[in-house]
Amino acid sequence: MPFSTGATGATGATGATGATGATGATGATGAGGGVGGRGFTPGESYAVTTARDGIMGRWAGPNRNVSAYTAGEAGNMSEWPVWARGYVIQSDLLAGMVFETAPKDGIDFQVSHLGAGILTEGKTTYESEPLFSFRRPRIEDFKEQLDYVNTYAELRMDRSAEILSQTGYPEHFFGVILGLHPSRTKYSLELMATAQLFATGIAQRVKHALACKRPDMFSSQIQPMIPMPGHGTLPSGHATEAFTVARVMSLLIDDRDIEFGIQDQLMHQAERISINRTIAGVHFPADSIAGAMLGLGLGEYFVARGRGLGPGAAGPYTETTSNFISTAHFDGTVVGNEDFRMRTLFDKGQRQSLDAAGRRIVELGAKVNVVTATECLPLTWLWEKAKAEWPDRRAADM
Amino acid sequence: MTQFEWEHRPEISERTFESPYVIWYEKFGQRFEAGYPGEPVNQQPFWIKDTSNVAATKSGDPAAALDGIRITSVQPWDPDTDGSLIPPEPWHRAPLRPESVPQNYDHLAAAPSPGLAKPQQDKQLVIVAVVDDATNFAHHRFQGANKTSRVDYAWVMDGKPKDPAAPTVPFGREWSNAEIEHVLKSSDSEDAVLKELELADFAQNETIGLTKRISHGTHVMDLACGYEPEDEDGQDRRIISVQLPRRVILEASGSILHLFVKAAIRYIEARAREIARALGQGSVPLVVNFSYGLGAGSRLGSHPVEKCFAEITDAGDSNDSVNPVHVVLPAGNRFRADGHAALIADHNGQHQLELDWMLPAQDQSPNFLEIWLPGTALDRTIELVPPNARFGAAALIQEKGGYLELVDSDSKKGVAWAAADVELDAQRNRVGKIRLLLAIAPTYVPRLEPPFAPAGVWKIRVSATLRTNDDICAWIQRDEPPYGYRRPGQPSRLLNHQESRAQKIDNEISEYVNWFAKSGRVTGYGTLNGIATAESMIVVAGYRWRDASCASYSSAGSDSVRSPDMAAISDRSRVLGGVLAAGSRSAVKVALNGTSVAVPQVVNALTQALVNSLAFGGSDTVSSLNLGALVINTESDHNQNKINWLRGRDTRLTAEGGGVAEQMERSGFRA
Repeated sequence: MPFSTGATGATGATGATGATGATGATGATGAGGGVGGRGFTPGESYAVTTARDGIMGRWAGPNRNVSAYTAGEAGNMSEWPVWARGYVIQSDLLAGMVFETAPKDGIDFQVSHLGAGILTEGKTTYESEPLFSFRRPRIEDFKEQLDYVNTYAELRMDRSAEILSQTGYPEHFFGVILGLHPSRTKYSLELMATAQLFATGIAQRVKHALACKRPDMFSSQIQPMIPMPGHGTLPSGHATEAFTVARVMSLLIDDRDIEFGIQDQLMHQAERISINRTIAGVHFPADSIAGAMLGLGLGEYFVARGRGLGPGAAGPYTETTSNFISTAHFDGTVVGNEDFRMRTLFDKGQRQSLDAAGRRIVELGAKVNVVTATECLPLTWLWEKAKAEWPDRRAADM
Repeated sequence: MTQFEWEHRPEISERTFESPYVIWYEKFGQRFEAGYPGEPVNQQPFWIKDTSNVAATKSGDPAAALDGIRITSVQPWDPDTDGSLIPPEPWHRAPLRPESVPQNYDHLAAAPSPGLAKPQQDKQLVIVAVVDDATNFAHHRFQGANKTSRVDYAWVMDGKPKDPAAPTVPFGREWSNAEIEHVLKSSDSEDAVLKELELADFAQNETIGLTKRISHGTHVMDLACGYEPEDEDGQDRRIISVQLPRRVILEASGSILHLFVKAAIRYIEARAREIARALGQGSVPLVVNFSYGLGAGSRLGSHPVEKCFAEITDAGDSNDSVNPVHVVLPAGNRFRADGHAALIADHNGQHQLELDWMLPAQDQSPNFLEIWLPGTALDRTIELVPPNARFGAAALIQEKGGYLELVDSDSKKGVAWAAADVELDAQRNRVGKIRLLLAIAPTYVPRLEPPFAPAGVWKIRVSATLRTNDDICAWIQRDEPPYGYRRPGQPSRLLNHQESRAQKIDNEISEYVNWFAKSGRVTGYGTLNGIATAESMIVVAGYRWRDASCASYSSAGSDSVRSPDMAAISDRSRVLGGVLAAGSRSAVKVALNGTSVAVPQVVNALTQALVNSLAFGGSDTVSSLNLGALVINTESDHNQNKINWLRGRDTRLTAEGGGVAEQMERSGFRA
């Protein structure tokens, strides 16, 4: 499972209210902390057993008033622990997605969503709609990028505090912008953690498929300042996760395109987090370009799924609403010596295509309806809870 | 065990002052060049000459003087036929990158127009020129309202010419006021601005000062002439910025610095006239900030860099459109660098200066020591004993008599050289001093062929017959890279045996204020910046604001070396070092210390005095101006205990400006 960083997993189930962390976001899903992390010590277990012996008396059969939950109801989510909710949403999201390796020429890997099914003669068939596709850079393309890893290394000392703080999920860096709090905005924190986790899952799957080698495989002089992660380099996990979070949280709270506004700050923070990885020596700028493209798209997709605009759902259903999101294709074979800059991929409140010297590095395509066969009602539940925490929200009504 | 032997080489150089370094570099120094991370890339040798003359700048056309600087990539002499590796006059070697050098033009194109100068009512417009490195001249502190720029001209010497067929400067890229404003208005982020102006581009694979949070030139320029865009006082100043090539400032010996400083001065003069001409209202004063220092030099005011500045500060013609001209330099930060020793003769006769020069191990940069003797000294001998050697070598010092080379017996290659030359005392127009330059190879450079110089203590004995009050001085050339750059190499130092351990501790605690000048020993007195000794310069020392005590690193004069003129704040307190001013990016504030940051504060105060007074001129501007809070006149201080210098108990300090707190208030310095 994609809990590969697990940096704060030790706080496990209590993380959401985390005395240990101002935002404690990852604790909400107990990432890396195994399952839950709540338990009795052996001594307590023994003690409870001996006490039961003492007080139980003779077995009396069912003696409590009990009624059933309604099966499958989204509202039941409030009954479950935070970490379990994370798995529920993750499973629902992934159940509506399809991964294809080399589906056609010019595409090495593709992430699609599973469309609404068509019932014919008692059988439901599903069609998938491509969303995000990748053509990986060749070795010679990565070689062209390598100079940047050296030049950016000049800033290692300048950025060392940030880089070391950002080795796990950098939730505090978004928390300070938005004013998150483990009590007052606990569902927003949970939403953020869930989005992060989702992004990690997709990013790891794409990394596996594209199988791109890290900068230290190209030069012995990279000598990164943090341990080189074992998984592939492109797309950058940090870039994907950071941009997913930035997009989701701006759509949650305030996505106005104003100078120095919330969306501006979130996007710049995501950019800085991504660039810090190049400075540290563990990524090429191209990894951040691919990661940002994927992250921004996944953020919109995540929110669209959460709106629950499946067939029969309430709400408008037209091409202009947010359940239609643009496809995106990353062509690593033309990335050349292009550096990573957020404004080339997200500007004026929208995702952008990236052209450089006549080459299409990132191409946004037609808008696609991401209504899927599987509604993600648990995510809708969480989305509505999180929205309610922001009485002053200024996002387009999503 | 490697053996070294001194050998005498009879070659003669006819070149003047800078020749020992040039000889050393051309014949030996290149052997020790090894790559290091972040070094300037794509450097190639060019040759530069300046065919203009001083007269052209003062009464003629300074633009023609700038045009007189020519660069060629074709070696302008043939070492085989000429028999010499040294470029002949007037050529000098200059490492530059090819894309910075336009070569196919007849004359420089006309200068762009300056921006619109709008000094306030009854205020004199003043031009402030800052020559430095890593200067973000598009920073908001150098803007006027609405993204206008107060910078009229910016020369980025490392840049690419806009139009190589019709350049406006002999190399690099000039940015006009209109171009800077266009970039400011059409870019949506500072990253884009810096990239467009070629100031900070990560595609350039080398260390660039402006990519860091703190950059020397931006900080200095902010202190000198930075104002918030809405602040009307900013309009009384127009700015010229010159950024020296990175390869030049990284050259530790300073041997190529003067070529580029000369070009910068020519440029500043030419462009200052454009500004004055556009204003059309009589003379416009010019204040030049040059926050840079060298460790070695004669301190006679005749270093080539000093001569460049003297050309423009010499008492000018009051009809001159740019007048008066002041140049402000730092006193230097080498008071505690253990880089200077002096011996003052107390009687006529034989004297001997003994030095222990400690070269660190694993030192990848060469080390230079200059020993200066009076031209009238007789029977001059030097003995140089490498570490662990059983014998030294004594040789007569003769000017123009060739040089000594310490040769490794196995490889027959040299690891140390000694050469002598004579420097004219330009200020007093007579033969001044004789310099002996000791150049020692690095003690180790990975991946280079040995031999290297042995690390450890090199013993030097200089003896001569002197008259009373003559002196023998020694200075180590500064070996630290400029702020923000990494260049491998350790500084060397002179060991001071005359201080007991107890004295050393005492000095640390009292921060060296009790460290008197004494003859024949390593001392901090006389460590003044080697290029800040000309009479016409304003030289600024540093002090600590909180208790008005001298900055412990601030260099001082001595009996034979001039003292700084005044001091400004270089640290806020014992705990809070440095002074706050602009960081590389707009709206960022950072702390930087050193006498480098004291200089622009004096530039600012001086500029303000000139702005306020429409009827000033003449060479006595410094003492006649009531500069008030920031500056303390220390004319005859060099004989006094440093502790009285700036303690507030100094009556001149009190008389001029009241207590320290009031002074700070007046200078605008808030706690």
